[in-house]
Amino acid sequence: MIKYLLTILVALMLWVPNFVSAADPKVAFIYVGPVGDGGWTYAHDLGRRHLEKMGVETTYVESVPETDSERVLRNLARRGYDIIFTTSFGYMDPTLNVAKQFPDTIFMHASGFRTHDNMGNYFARMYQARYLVGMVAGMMTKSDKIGIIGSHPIPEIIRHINAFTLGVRSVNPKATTQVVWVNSWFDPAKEGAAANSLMDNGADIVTITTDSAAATQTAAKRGLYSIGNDSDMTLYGPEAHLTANIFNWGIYYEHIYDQVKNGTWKPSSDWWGIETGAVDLAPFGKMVPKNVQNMVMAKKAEIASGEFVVFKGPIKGQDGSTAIAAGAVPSDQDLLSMMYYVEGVVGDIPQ
Amino acid sequence: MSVQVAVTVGSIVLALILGSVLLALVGVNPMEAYPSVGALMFFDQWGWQDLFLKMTPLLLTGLGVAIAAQLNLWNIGAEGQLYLGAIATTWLALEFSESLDAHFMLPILLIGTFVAGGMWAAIPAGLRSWFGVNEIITTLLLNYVAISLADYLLFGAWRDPSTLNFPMTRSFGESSYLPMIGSTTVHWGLPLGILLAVLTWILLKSTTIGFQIRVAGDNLSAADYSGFNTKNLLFIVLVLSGAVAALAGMTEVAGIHHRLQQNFSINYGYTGIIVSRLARNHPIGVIGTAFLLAVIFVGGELLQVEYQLPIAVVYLFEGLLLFTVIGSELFLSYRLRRRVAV
Amino acid sequence: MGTPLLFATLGGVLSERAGVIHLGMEGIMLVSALVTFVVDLQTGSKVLALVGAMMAAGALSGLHGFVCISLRGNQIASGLALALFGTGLSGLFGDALIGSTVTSLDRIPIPGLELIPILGSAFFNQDWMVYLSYVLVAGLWFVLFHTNWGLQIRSVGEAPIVCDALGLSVAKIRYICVIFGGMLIGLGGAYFPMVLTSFWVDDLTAGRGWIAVALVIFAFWHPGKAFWGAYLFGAAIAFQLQAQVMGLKIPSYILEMFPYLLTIVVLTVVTVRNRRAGQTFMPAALGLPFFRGDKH
Repeated sequence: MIKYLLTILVALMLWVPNFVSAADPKVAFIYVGPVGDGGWTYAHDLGRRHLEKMGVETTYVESVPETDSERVLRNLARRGYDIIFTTSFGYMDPTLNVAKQFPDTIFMHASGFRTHDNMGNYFARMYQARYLVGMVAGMMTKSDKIGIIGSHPIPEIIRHINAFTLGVRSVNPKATTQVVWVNSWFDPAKEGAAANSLMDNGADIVTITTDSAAATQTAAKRGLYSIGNDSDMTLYGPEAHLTANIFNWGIYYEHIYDQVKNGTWKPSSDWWGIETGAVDLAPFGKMVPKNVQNMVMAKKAEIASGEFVVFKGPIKGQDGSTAIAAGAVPSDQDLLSMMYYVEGVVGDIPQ
Repeated sequence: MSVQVAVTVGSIVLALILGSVLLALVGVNPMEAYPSVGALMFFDQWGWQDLFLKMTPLLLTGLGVAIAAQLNLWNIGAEGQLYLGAIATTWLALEFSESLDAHFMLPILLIGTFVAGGMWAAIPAGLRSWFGVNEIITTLLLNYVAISLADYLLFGAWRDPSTLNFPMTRSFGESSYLPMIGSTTVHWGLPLGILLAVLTWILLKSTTIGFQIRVAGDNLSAADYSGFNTKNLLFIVLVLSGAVAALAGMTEVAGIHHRLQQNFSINYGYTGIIVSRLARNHPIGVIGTAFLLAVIFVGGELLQVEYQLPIAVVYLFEGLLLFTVIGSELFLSYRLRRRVAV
Repeated sequence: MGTPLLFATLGGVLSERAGVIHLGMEGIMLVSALVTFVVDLQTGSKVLALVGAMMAAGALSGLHGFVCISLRGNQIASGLALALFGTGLSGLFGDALIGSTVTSLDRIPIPGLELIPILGSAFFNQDWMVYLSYVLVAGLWFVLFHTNWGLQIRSVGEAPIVCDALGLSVAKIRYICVIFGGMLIGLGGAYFPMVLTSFWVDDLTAGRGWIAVALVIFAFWHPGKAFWGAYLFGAAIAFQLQAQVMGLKIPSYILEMFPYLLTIVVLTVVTVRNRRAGQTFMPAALGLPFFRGDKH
């Protein structure tokens, strides 16, 4: 009797994955943080929900440590998901390993550089938007001191600090940016305290490389300004929030989904810029003057058309030496591994 | 024994029922969810492998906590000990795995990690034995220190330039990989954990020091009176506890990922406290309860995939289970007290 | 940064003075933060939000009390269960709240006192919850050490068998302390959406409840020392950020360890000094379930 039951159950289990038809790909995501982080992971999940709204069957597994990801990925592939997005740099090698084991599943890895017959990678050039919000900060500061709250010093964060600082100094060469690290991906109360420390030291605008709105609220309380990150944080302090650089992953996920559905998908490395809308600026706050808005929007158009490149020499390092030679444009690989500050950043990269 | 098992099973069932109410509240039909998740775990060879993989660190941290509990000491620091174990393993593997073969490398990792974990636990152990400092608070606070130490190394000396400066070490040499059991994805950390659990049990049952520990665990002042050096005993037990918990760090990095990264532990150290407690701190019982907690973890993950529930359901079920099991101890207390009286 | 720690530590002190260890603070803080946020969002009333948070916290803490006092379960394990359960509850029900915000409390300077150099603005230009925490420190100290209630509470924590023989209801006093203690811990959780972060994200308290567990012992179960302990810890975190702003060349991950190591060192020094003086501050019956009818 028990044997029969077992057989039936096993049969049921094997039957479910076969139910999938090739015409309607099922999509899975693995996230490094909880969806409730309100930032990086949340932005990806908004992209997933965009697919859901289109009627696509999706699922996700959140808070998957990089060390545990290979197991989770294998399970998702085995369960018959056709496209799996892996949304943290640390998932790169696990994704490649599992991609080799499941040649019929398509894997898309965010923020890395490996590809395979059935694996591509993708990222968005958020640094372009960081440059633009830096321009806003540079024009709006009165004290010429801008505070940045850092999470952990990974290349992506350093690149964003640099792009922001370049943006600030393109319009205000006297201004400097100062970085305080909270050494946490996630601790809103400490981010608030860090914002206070920076403002006590004379910063009149703070921005974040973390995800929470704590800095915006702190700025609002003190009557100063802030610039948000990853999502529009106007709601949390309309009188303080100048603008923010934001992700729109849904655009990209829809693009990949359509390709797979139509059978036109090929492994590639996509690094989508501001011209695609995958990264963008949040609406400007009321206190940002029209001429500032116009200048930023003009620069945005230049970046979108390729006329202006954010990381193009000559760019000096923090100590005044040449970091990028005149006319040189670093490769994407160089940008992905950027670990030095440009001129105008105050503070050290924790070593 | 049978009453204990029956009460424990009863409390597990109660926790599942209470959990089903909460699931229903967020719109998931438990009558549908439980069987489907259960089938995915137990009627699937991959499900079993996942359970065994998840069970391994929980068994080691749980055993570590259980060892301390023999003397009524609370080791809340298994999480930090696990991190320190991973740091020690990583250091040894980075230094030696390219030059030594597995016959030397694996024993070095095992012994080195064990010693490093013991030395780390010697801080709260020494403070407790000779200065009377409460071990709950020191072990708890040292968790944060160990995690910061790992961050310090990952963002500093150990950062691997070949992975685009992302905070991870380079891959270890293959000689430091824990071998897999047959053609499965389960590594030899699990048998190691089971072996250690059995050894601990033998140590407690049939050695002089085990006898002393049992006497001191029942009544510390009586042990003092009997002429045992209880200060040494407290020290040794807490050090052993940390050393065993640290091995969980070794099995994770040398068994699965072969490099060190941030956040590699999913609260395995804290969960070890539950593992130990559910087993009533019995070294053999820990094997069973580590499996049970693995079921909750893997089950919670499947609930996510199937029903898009947040990872928080795992904590919810762990909490409920712990509540019902502790609550049920009343039913055992008469029996236990009778046994003590005899 | 110190205020939520202070509330939670005070709650822990009250509960543990009566002999019930409270390890579940993180869970209570998260749930009460969630309730505060939801009620504030729905009604716009800070007072109602606070009442709701305290009720939820009291109920959860009462559950801890039920397991520890009535079912005589292990207190540390029950606290751990509560921490997990609360974290789970807040995570499960919190996701829907992301993207909404409430207003935070304004600072109300106290005329005169705020002008005291250096400390004046730090202590007397704050929101009303901070002032409430001062009142609670003094109040709890007064109740514990200068009233008959306080004597009963401390006696129950020291010698429940004697209290029982004298006709006091050990269970009743412990329940009251655990539930009121829980409410104080709930104030600590409520402080996050009320002042620090008026939005919801997962795991909002980021482990502060565990720090409070340590601070209760650090404060040797004394409300006054809890005050200094909580603010010392808050100051250590502020120092870590300030050191970076000032450009001190200490690696920030080493600075990160500083508050924890400092706590361990201070605790050790004080423990040794107390032992030399022959004092133990730990309630003698802390952690022990009380079996009525046990006459040793």
